[in-house]
Amino acid sequence: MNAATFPMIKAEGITKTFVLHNQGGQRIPVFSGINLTVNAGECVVLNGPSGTGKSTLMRALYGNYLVGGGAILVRHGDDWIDMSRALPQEILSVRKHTMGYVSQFLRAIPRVPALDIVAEPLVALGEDEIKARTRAGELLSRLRVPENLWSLAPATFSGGEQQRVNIARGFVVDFPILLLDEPTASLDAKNRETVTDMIREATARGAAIVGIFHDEDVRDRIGARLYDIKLQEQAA
Amino acid sequence: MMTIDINAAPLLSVQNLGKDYGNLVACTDVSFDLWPGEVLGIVGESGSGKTTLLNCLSAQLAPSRGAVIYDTRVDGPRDILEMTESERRLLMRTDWGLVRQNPRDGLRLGVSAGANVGERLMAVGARHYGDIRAEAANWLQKVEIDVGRIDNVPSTFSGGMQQRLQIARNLVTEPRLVFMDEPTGGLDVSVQARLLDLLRGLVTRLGLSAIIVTHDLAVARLLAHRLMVMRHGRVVEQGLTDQVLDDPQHPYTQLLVSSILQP
Repeated sequence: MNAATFPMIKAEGITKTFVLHNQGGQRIPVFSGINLTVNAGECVVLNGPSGTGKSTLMRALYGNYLVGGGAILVRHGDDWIDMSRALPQEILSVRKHTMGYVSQFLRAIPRVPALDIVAEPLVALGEDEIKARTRAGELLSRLRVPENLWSLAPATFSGGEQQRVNIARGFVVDFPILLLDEPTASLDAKNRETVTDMIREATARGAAIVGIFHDEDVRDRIGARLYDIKLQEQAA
Repeated sequence: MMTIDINAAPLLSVQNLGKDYGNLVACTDVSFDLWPGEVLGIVGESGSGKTTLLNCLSAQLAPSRGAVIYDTRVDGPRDILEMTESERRLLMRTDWGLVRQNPRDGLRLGVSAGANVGERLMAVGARHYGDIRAEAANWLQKVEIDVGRIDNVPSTFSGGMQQRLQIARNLVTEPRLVFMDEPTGGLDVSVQARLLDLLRGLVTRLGLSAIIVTHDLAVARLLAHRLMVMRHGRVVEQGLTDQVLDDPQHPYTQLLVSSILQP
């Protein structure tokens, strides 16, 4: 496979404006005319100061935010799905099979142990629960989450521990596409290095990755291509 | 989040459903498809028409207009409103479950927990006492009720236990579609968490389709793939659950989402 010629994501002319109906219909333009292609085996880093809409763009790619115009084409098996127009069940299918997402913060579910949270995406794909938990444990070990925490619900974990559970969950399936929203933000140097290694391994197996990383060192070691998002003028 | 795959035919197809009480429009112009394995959440404040809608969908209440087409196992898609009363009753016993907000409305309070679960099995033809009792005990375990309580009547149970018993009673016959009206309403938060965890697991493992009415957006986020937001009897917004909650488009949905207290 020639990575440079195998696009996995093609965002074409996408626009996002928030309209706050309960605050006098205030319009907050975030970005417009975004064109972004991400190929298999490459990592693209969204670049720009705070407030330029990096996380918003990532959420739009995941189908979590609606966009006002343009298309977000994602290669899903042999098909292209336009995430900006897809039906809910199509988006869920893309998320199940094709696209993983590591959000900034873990959404802990009451009573569900860390190990099961990590294993869940594999189980959803039909993997045997014991095998899925074994794989989840390997990832948690690699990310230095102490084994005595695995059976606990992560609501009471530290920020860094929660983030590592979140990362493990995102990497438990070898997704063809990965979206990473500041996965290294609250990690110590050792864990940051581990996550960097995991990202490099993912691109080496052909994953297309879109990430937000503020850490220069991490960007360099991943060998990422920068994509600049420019600040929009605020509409009066 | 639970995930589903793209399916060819909807399990339930609702077309222009409406219900009036005299001059009052309780709900109107409701159309949607529910797919196999899909969990649909209906959210909105009290008085928005969501319970009326659920009652029409589950044949508890005759709608004033519209159609509810259900893909039956034997005859394929049929309008439940055109079925005979006995056909509808058979559907309720075999293919559907109905979990009410108040478990006392969904349980038989005068008979034992085991009988509450076993009764549904007998309704679909189970006759062997030992098998029925074993299956009832199995289900009590699944919903985390001490099997030692199998011969107690539900009026001796706590509210949370009663609700779990009602769920066992409904799921024991492995229905394809379950209707739930505020299944966690009126329960303490710790009891709610346990029930949500249980429901989440059961729905995923059994591959059920479900329609859940709730005013609690956190419950909707945890259980539903897709949301319908109702106001004044109409659907004002619908879509993928996390999209509707994280990027609401309609003024009313924006108000609902921004009104939640963060603990």
